Amino acid sequence: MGDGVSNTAAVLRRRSLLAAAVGLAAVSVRPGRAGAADPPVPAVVEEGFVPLFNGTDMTGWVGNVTGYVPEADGKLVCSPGRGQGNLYTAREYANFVLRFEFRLTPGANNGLGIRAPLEGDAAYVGMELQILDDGAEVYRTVQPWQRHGSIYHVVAAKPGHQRPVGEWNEQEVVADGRHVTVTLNGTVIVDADLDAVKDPAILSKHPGLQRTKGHIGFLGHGSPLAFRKIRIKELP
Amino acid sequence: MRTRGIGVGRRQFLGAASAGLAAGGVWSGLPARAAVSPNEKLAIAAVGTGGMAAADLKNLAGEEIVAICDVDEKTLATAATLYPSAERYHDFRLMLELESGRIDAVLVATPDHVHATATMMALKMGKHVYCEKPLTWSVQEARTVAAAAERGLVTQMGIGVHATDNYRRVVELVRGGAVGPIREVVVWCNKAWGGDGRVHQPVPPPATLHWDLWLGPAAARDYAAGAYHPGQWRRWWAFGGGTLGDMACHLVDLPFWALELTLPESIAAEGPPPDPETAPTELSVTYRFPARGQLPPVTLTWHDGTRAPKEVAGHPVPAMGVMFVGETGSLFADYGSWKLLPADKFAGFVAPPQSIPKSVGHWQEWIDACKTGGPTTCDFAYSSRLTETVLLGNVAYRSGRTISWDAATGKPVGCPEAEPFLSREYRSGWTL
Repeated sequence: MGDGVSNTAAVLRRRSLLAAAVGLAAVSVRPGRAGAADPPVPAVVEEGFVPLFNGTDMTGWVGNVTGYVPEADGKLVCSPGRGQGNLYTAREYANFVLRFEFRLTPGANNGLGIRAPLEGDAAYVGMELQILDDGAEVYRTVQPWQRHGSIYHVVAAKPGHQRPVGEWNEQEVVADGRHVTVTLNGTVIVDADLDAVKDPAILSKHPGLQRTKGHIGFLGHGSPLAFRKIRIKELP
Repeated sequence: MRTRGIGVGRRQFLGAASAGLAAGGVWSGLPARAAVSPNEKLAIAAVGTGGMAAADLKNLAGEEIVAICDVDEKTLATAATLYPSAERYHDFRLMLELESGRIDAVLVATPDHVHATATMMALKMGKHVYCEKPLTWSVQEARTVAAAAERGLVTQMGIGVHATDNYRRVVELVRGGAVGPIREVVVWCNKAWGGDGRVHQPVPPPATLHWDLWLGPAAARDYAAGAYHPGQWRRWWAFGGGTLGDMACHLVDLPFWALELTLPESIAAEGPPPDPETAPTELSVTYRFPARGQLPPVTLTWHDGTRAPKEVAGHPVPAMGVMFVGETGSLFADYGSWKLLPADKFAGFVAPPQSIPKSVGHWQEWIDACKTGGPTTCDFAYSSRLTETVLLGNVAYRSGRTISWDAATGKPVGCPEAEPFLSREYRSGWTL
C-alpha cells in the first residue's frame, strides 16, 4: 500500500429415531412454562397414557392431515390454507382421559371432537368441546355455551381460565360413560352429566350425546393454532 | 370451530387474513400489535439461527426473541440454549402465521434463495424486517421487496460495515473532493465462492435436516453431503450468487453511498465459460452508471477470485478493497482503513471535518427506528438498488451479454438472453 496518508480508523427421516424421542418428550408430565417453549425434556410418559400424535408425522390420523403440520418440539400446527376440514384419530375411543396443550392465536377458533363419527357435523353427531380465544373482541358477545371448553350448544364452560393468547394452556378431558369433565389449566370448567340434559330441543339436535364411542378430532382449519403433548389413557 | 349464531363469523376476519396472504395481498385481517414505545422491547421472530443469524441474534438479544426458526434441528437446538423462552419452528411460514399476533419485527438470515419469500411474508403482515445481504436472490425479488417495504415499515439490510466510522470518513473524503471528480472505481475481493468441480452423490439428508424446507422456493433436488448445507450453498446459482453475491454488497456499498449511485445503465462481465449450476471462481464485472446531477458518469469494475488485482491505479493493494480513482489522486479503502494516493502528493493533507453522524450501530439503528419511526441507513429502498446492481453482474455473466439496463422498468433493453436469470418460478407452496 505504500506510505499513503493513512487513517486506520478503529474498526474493525429418517426422522424416525429422533421422532420417537420427540414424540415421547411430547407426552412429558413436565408442566408447560407459560409463554415459553419447553427445552427438550427427558422422555417421561404418564402412567397408562399413550401419545396420539407422535411428534413427527400424521400416523394414526385421518381427514385433514395436510392442514395439520408437525412442527418443532412435538407441536402440531393447524395452518389455514394447507388443507380443508377436520382431523380425526383413525381409531375410535369410548371412555378415556385425554390430555393435551394448546396455544391460541388472536381470534383463534377450533374445537375438540369426541365420540364423533367421521362424517357429519361433529358438534351434533358427536360432541364438540369448543376451542376458542375467549378474550377476542370479536367473540365478546358469544353465548356461554360457545366459550372455550363448552360442550357446544349443550353445556357451558366456566370462563376465565385461559392463559393469555400465545401462551400454552393445559387441558384434560375425561369422558367416562355419561360423565364428561374438562379441566383447563388446573381448573375444572365443565363437569357434566350427559343424562342431566333433558331439553328435548337439545336432545333432538344432538344425537351425538347418546353415542358411546367415536373418533377424537380437531374441528377446524381456518385459524392458526398449535397443539402438543396430545396423549390419552383409555378407561375401562 | 363453531361460531354459528354469533353474528360475526370466523371467516370474516381470519378468512380475510388467510385469503389475503394466499392472494399475495396485504395481511390486514389480524389485529396489529400496538406500536412499540421506546421503553418497550421489540418482539422479534428469527428466520434462521445459525451463521450470520447467530451473529444477528446476538446483536438483537437485548430485545425479546419470541420465536426462532431453523430447518436444521441441530442449529435450532443450539440457538434454543441461548434463547430458551423462544418458541421453536422449522417452517418460517408456520412460525409467522402463529406468531404474527405477538411480534413486531422479523429477522431474516437464511441462505439467499429464501430471503425474499420470508421477507415478503413478514412485510405483508406489517412487520419490520432486518434481512441479511444480499437482500434477495433475484433482481425481480429485489424490486418486489422494495415495493412492499414502501408502507412505513422499518427495514435494514445486514451490511454491518456500513455503520463504521471508517466508511463515514471515506464518504466525507469523496464528497469533500479529496481526489477530485471520480469517474472510475475498482472493487475487488480474492474470495472464490465458485463451483469446486467436485461430483456430488445424492444421499439421504441427515435426520436432523428438513431438506424440503431448506430448499424452500427453489426447485427440488437431492441432498448431497457437503455440497450445500451448511456453508457451501453460495457456490450454487440455485441458492446463492458466488463471490459477487457474497461480498459485493459490503464493498460496492461504499461507492454507492459516497457517489450517490443508484442503478447501472449497462453491465458487462468476463470470466470462464458460465456453468449452468455453479458460480465462477473468478469473475470481472464492469458497471456503467450515468451522471447524477453535477457528478460525472462512473465506471465501476469488480474483480474476484484470481482476478483480484495486486495493483490498482499504480498502487499495490491488499486482497480486498475499493479504489476511488479521481482526477487529482486515488483513495483506497477497505473495511477498516483508508489511504490517499500517491502518498507524497497528499503529505500534509487535512481531512475535512466529520459531517456524517456516528452510527449507534447497524442493528441498533433498526431497533431504534422500529420504536421511534426514525430512519435506517440501509433501508430496502437503498439496499434493493445495491442488491439489484450486484445481482446484475451475475445476470450479465450468465447470459453472456452486455446488458443495457432500463432502471425505470427493471428490464434489459434488447437482451432476451438475460430474462431467464432475473427471476425464478417458485415451487408449489412458496410465494412472494
